[in-house]
Amino acid sequence: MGQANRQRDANANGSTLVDLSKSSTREWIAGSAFALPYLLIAGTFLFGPLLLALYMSLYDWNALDPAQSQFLGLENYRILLSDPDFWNALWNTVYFVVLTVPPIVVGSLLLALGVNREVRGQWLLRTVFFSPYVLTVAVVGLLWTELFNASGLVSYYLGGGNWLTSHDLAMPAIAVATIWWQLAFNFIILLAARQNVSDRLYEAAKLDGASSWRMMRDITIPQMQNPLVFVVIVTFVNSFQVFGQPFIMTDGGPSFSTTTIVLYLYDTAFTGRQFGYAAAVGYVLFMILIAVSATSYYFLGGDD
Amino acid sequence: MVNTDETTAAVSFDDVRKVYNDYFVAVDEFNAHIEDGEFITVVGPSGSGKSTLLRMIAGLETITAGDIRIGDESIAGVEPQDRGIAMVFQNYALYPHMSVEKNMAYGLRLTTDLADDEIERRVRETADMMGIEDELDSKPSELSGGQQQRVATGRAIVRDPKIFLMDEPLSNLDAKLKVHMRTELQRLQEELGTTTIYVTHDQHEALTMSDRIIVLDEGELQQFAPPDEVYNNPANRFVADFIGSPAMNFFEVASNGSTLVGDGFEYDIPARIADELDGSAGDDLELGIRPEDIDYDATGTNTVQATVEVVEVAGSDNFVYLDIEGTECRVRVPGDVKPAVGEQVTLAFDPADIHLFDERSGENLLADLRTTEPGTAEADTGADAAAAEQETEEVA
Repeated sequence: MGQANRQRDANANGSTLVDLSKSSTREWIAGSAFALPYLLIAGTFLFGPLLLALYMSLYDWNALDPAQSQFLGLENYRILLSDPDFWNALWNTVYFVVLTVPPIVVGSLLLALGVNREVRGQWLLRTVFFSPYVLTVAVVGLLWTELFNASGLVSYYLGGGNWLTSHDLAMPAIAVATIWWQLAFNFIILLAARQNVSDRLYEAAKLDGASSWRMMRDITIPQMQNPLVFVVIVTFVNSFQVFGQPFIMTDGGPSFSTTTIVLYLYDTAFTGRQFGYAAAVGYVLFMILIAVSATSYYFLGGDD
Repeated sequence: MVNTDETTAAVSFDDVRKVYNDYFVAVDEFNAHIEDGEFITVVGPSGSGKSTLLRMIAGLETITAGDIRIGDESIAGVEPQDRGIAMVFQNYALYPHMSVEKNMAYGLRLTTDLADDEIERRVRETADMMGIEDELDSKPSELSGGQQQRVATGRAIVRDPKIFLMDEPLSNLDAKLKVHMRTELQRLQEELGTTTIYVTHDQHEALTMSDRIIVLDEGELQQFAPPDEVYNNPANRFVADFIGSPAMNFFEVASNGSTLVGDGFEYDIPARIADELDGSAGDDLELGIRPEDIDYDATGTNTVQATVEVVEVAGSDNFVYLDIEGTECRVRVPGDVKPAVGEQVTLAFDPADIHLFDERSGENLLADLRTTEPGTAEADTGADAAAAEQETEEVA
């Protein structure tokens, strides 16, 4: 190859490299532009507050003049572990979780499987089951407060007077309202998941001799595994974070029997003005939620 | 429960009818008898009722009226798993979360009392036969389309059914693999001798695989005959048009004693054909002739003039699209024949190759004549040749 040809090839290769580099820069800029809105919103409303709360939890935080805040290190966390009100709120929350998560998950699954069948008025049932989800927590809270008060329908038929002022019945009452309200969202997710399972699998199983129960065990549940894991985790998170229903229906009473962690956090921060301590409560809840989600994921074995 | 002593069984349909939602007739008054050990293909366009027929045998659809018998017993009220059938689905319907081994063993575990090691032995034996012995621990999503098809077939075989039902099992494969799997399925069926009912919309599969073909249209049986007969002596215009690629040519003609008069041509027919037409149809006839039966660039009398419009090069053969006074005519010619567009050519039809249909009823008016004709045997080779050629095209 002559000198001139080699030079020409070198130039040609050089220009290809330059083109590639220009093109990848353009792609990087375009990609960043698309990601930027999310990064800005998530940074401002998610990661920023998350870091700020961690920072606040290490201080006796002065909300009016943050510069005057006093650094305490892990003192807020140490106090919290020996705070009976915190433990009361934690146990109330766990009680609420136990009362709500199984019925919401199992109930929404059964509703989804039931409504998936071809029955007359199927669309009406779907609408009826989903409709509570469009209500706000305030409407749900006020509606069920009326139903549970001494002259409401619940005590009329089941007795028990005003459930919301009963130490034993107040939390179950809040749980019932929550199940009615939250079932709808999970129902829609699981109905969509069930409808994604190919009918051919059921036909193959039928020819293989599977009973309805075996089909449920061997086809439906395994095929809905990922949405089920999602529903379980979301329900756990929602139930651990319960705030609106006890705030509206009982304000944590009677005698703190319905004070949940988030309600306690709210009272500590906005009534007691202990923002640093409330941030520490929030962080403990955050850790609990991570642990519960990871445990659910591990035991239920989602693929995605 | 259907008798399970036999290893394979005949299937009979007596006035079988399927109606959906009280108005849509999917299968109407279907009668047929499938012999023990036969390979039957059910072919027809989309919506013709072929899958419905298969699903009624399987027990996945109820039968609105009539009866289906497997062996000597009616399947009415018999659960699908007790009918002695196994089915291969179009999209295989493999359980995605189970390994290949579990997929294949599932039916045996549920319907037999076999010990686990016996089930495992049978599954391994079948997997060996299907060439998937190394994939037993894989999930279906880790397999290629061809392997998934083998698993689905293996899952059916391992149950040792009396009847295989296959619902377009090769339609998701590429052309080359389809041809390979087609041969493999035929080999398996011959080895096992199990009665097989195979649904397809692909006429090539029907022509190449089956002992007999059921042609369905709009839920009605059009013809039930061996491939050669379906190809060479179609019962009606629908069968003639549906089977064969490119499709048969049709020309509207009127009978004038011993001459058929069409747009732009007259064609003299022999006395035996004229006699057969005597008293029927009259003016409302359709002359049918297959593209490979047309004598291209003919000489002499009783010919038809045509103009070349398009030449389609297809390797060993070419397809020439001609215009005969506004009617399109397709001719299959050898690969070295490539006429120029606009060229005038002369065609001749051998009377032994023509079909005449009643335009109103679609009935093949020469069906009886061709059945008794001594030259039919020669024509019989046409279906095999056409199927082989179509197969070559597919692979190409």
